[in-house]
Amino acid sequence: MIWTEKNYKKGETKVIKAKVCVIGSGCAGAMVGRDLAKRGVKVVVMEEGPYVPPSELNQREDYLIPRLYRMNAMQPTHDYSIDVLEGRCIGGGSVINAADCVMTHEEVFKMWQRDFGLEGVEWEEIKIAYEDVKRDIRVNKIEVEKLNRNNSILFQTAKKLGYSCETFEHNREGCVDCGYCMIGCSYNAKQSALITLIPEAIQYGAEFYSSAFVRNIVFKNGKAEKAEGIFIDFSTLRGIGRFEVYADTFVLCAGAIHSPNILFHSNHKFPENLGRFLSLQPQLPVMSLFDEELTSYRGIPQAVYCNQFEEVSDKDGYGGFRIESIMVGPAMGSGFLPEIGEKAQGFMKNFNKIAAVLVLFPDKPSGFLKKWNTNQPIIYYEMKDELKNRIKRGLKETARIFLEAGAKEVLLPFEEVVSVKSKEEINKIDGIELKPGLIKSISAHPQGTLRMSMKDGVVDSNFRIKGVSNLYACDSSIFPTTSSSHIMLPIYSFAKVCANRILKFL
Amino acid sequence: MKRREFIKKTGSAGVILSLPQKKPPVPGSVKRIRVIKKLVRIVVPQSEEIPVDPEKIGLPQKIEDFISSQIFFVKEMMRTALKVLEYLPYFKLKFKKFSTLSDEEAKEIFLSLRETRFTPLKGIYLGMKSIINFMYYSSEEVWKYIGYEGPVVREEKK
Repeated sequence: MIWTEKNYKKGETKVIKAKVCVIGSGCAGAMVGRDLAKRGVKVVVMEEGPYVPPSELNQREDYLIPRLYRMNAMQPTHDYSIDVLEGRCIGGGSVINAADCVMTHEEVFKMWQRDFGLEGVEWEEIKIAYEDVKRDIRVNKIEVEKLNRNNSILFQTAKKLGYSCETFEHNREGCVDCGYCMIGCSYNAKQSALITLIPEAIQYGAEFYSSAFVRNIVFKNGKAEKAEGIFIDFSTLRGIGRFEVYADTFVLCAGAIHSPNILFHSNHKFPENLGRFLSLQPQLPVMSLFDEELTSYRGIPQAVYCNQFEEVSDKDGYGGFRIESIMVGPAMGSGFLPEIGEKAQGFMKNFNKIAAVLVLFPDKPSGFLKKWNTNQPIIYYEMKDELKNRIKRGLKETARIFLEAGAKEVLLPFEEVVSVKSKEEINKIDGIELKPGLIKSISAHPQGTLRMSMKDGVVDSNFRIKGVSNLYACDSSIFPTTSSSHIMLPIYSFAKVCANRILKFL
Repeated sequence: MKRREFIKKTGSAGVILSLPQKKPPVPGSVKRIRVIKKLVRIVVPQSEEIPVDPEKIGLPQKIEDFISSQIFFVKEMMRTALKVLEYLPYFKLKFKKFSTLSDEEAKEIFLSLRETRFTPLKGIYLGMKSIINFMYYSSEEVWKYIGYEGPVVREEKK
């Protein structure tokens, strides 16, 4: 059953009892919830966001973005350089992601084992979990025939230049090419947790509470005793009533920003690196203007990646950059506009002739979270010089690809208009100063704030918060460094392994 | 009534009437909408590119409603941002409220925020710009001018 606002009584404090309380219903929470419920464990899943059923996914950005995304997809870092996107609804990130399936490379996992002491977690175990996940969420490869014009431009031009370029594996079945994946699939084509794992978990007896914001966990004698929070009315964003969840075991699955925030507000002394080692993996949008109408907003939004410049090694993990096609609706896309007034409108007037990519930069864990209020920590993240240099390289290569494809103008992601109209102009990118707050950048993959590491981590290799025997974490916060260019599959796979560990210790 | 008595009575009434009257307070939403209207005129003006009058499509009210529907701390931050913006011209020696400036003056002040080293002011620029653009390009009236056909599913789903 999914409990919604209609089920909560005003002013009431609801007491819920379960064997396991999962906090968050995205990829990690849905997987742990389903796997435990399947083995007969009484599970409750508490989700801060509302339940938005497929019948309500009406493809309207102004209606859906405030309901599906945390802070209307405008959750900023401390200097406003990066908007950190997170799903906040039943199904979490799996409802609003681009459905790209890219697993952690074995080299990176081996680096984690060597550098962070992940004794007890084996690659074979992760690999088996990954194969199961692929079946659960129906992973398949995007066929070249399915590419829209936006994706084809990147695919064909990169190939022409001799670059490595492929179509993604994704978890869609029967896609109708409407193009609204990032505000939830109206046709149940995207195999999000909302239509795969969550219905199955409910079938096995798991209960999901939507609009249930967990503020903190209460500890007693060194063990997590209960989770406290409030039910939210999403029409007014006011509290309806309170809840207390008593359970033998708690699992944090609220994402790399909010899992640590719950611990910040809990009465226990946690390892000192709580909230540190944040990777954001910034993604910079580059738009280019063509003469022809492209209608990039229809079709699979993100179907092609160019990994010619990506580096993967067991020494440093991920590096370099990837270029990935993308398109969103005009309201979300307007967030990338430079300038204001007629200048900005001049670009949007050609919305139908714009091709776009996101250039993705794997980063070293350098950010951290600072306790602020119960809803929101401050996200500190500064771009290091090494990353800034890579960004310039990435923008130059992207401009080269678009100009080769016949773009009239390539618009770079800055607050002031910086565009490149010919190959001769590409080198001017070297001279651009990357000022905080004036670079247009997003992060869809925050990771690492509850690092799994026997050395300097917060979580041990049994997925337990160090020093607390009945509190686990298994979302993107546990990855010691960036886990992949797209984190859905790593989260699902690690959460599956975590569910096995919890069963072992229950 | 004797003359002296008449002057006494009407004179005191006159004094009372001549005292500065306390005006009824202007609701916060009205004050905010004044600032939002000015912002809308400079961020998404009715232009040759997109000849849609943002006020005619109710954009300022939609933005006020959007702000009011936010979770408490976000709502308060946005409302504070509008207040700061309204009185910011005084710090620039303009001695006028932001909402009463000419469009050119308001644009100059608003654009100056993006270059400031004081991060919260930069946040006001980026935040307000994002919200106005978001609400504006969500409007069906604008879509035909940018070549966007809009959703495929029927409106009843909303």
